[in-house]
Amino acid sequence: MSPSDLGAGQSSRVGFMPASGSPDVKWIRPNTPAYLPPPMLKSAVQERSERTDALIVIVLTLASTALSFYDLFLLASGS
Amino acid sequence: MEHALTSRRFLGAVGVVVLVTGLFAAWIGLRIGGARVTLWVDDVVTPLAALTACVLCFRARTRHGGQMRLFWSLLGCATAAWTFAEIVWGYYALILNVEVPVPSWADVGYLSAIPLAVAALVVHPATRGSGTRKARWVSDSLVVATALLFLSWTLVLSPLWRSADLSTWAGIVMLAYPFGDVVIVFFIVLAIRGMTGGDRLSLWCLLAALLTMALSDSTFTYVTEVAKYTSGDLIDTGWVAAYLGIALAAFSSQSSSAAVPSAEHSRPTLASLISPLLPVLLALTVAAVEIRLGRHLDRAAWLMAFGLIALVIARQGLMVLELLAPGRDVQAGLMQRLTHAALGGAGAEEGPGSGYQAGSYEPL
Repeated sequence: MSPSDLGAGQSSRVGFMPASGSPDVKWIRPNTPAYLPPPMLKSAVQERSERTDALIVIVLTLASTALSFYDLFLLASGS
Repeated sequence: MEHALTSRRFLGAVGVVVLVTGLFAAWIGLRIGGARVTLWVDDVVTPLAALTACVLCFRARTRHGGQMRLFWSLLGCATAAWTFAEIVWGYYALILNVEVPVPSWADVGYLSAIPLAVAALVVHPATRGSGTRKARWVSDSLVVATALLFLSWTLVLSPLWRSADLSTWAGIVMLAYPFGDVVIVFFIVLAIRGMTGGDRLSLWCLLAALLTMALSDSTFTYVTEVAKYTSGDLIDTGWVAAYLGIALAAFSSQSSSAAVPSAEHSRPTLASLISPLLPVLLALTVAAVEIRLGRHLDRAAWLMAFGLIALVIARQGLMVLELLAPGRDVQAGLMQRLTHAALGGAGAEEGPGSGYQAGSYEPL
């Protein structure tokens, strides 16, 4: 009995199924979805990374501006 | 396949550098074999590391043409000067068995390496500002220079300035080191600011190495000033790491001789956008802490702090004006507009010939 015969009609229960038109056996884990979600589009990944970069630039720019005014206040108050 | 091989070569070289630096630090820190053996290890390994960097820089020179050939030639000369200085230092410490005098021939080597390293950074395409970016390049350079000078003055130069006898060569030499370090760090920041996604790891290695060198120099000057330094100190690890970092940059330049210009690679990186902000933030934080702790800022520090604040506020004002300019970048994303504003004109979408691009030169 070949592995393909073993898989006939019970692929969903025993965890493997025959590949059509091929003597090879395609193993699948039980209880896994038949289709994996498609990988995220590259542009979406880029967009997310660009948004993070923009956030970092904005935060650092605001921090340096705020620190400048704070230092100016300290210098002006003659501390 | 070729990329995988070169990556493996690069990772192998990084492993060697980390291993040698770690072993050196452990030996010096634990003083294995006693003080004399540690001194020998220190003063033999350091010139060997400098010599390795020198040889690899001149080897890298043969693989490049044009501006990058000049860059590697100048860096090779700088590492040759460092090697000479380290050998002289070792000769005093190990053969003559005396304290290294100041000034000495070692200082001639160390100090002549600084303008050579600076010249190398100046000829590197990444440090150049051009076209529409020129105005912002100049203003960012001023901001970064003021921030670095303030930091160095407050932490190292001011105490030295007060204690050094400037009527003697020794006093002048002592002050020349931290000034040289400020100039090197300044050009490192400019190089990072001009980097694009097309730059290779080797440029990062080189900049990290030069930064380590500058920090080790300034720390050395500081601890010498407070009379604690002895040859065979843990600070020496900084120099070994720096020489090996330069060697690593020169070694890995082989794998990136063929740059592939693309839109992604010509785009400024996050590092290039935030590089002027980091020294500014550090300087402003140090200023605030110094004032809050009640430490007196002398006239020079006060002027530098005030100048820095004025420059930063002016820079941010220009950036806001760029962001709010009507009829510009309506379709552009936030990052594109920020890049445009932060770099002052040409940014993410610049075309060929405007400023520094990955494909416009042979990268490291």
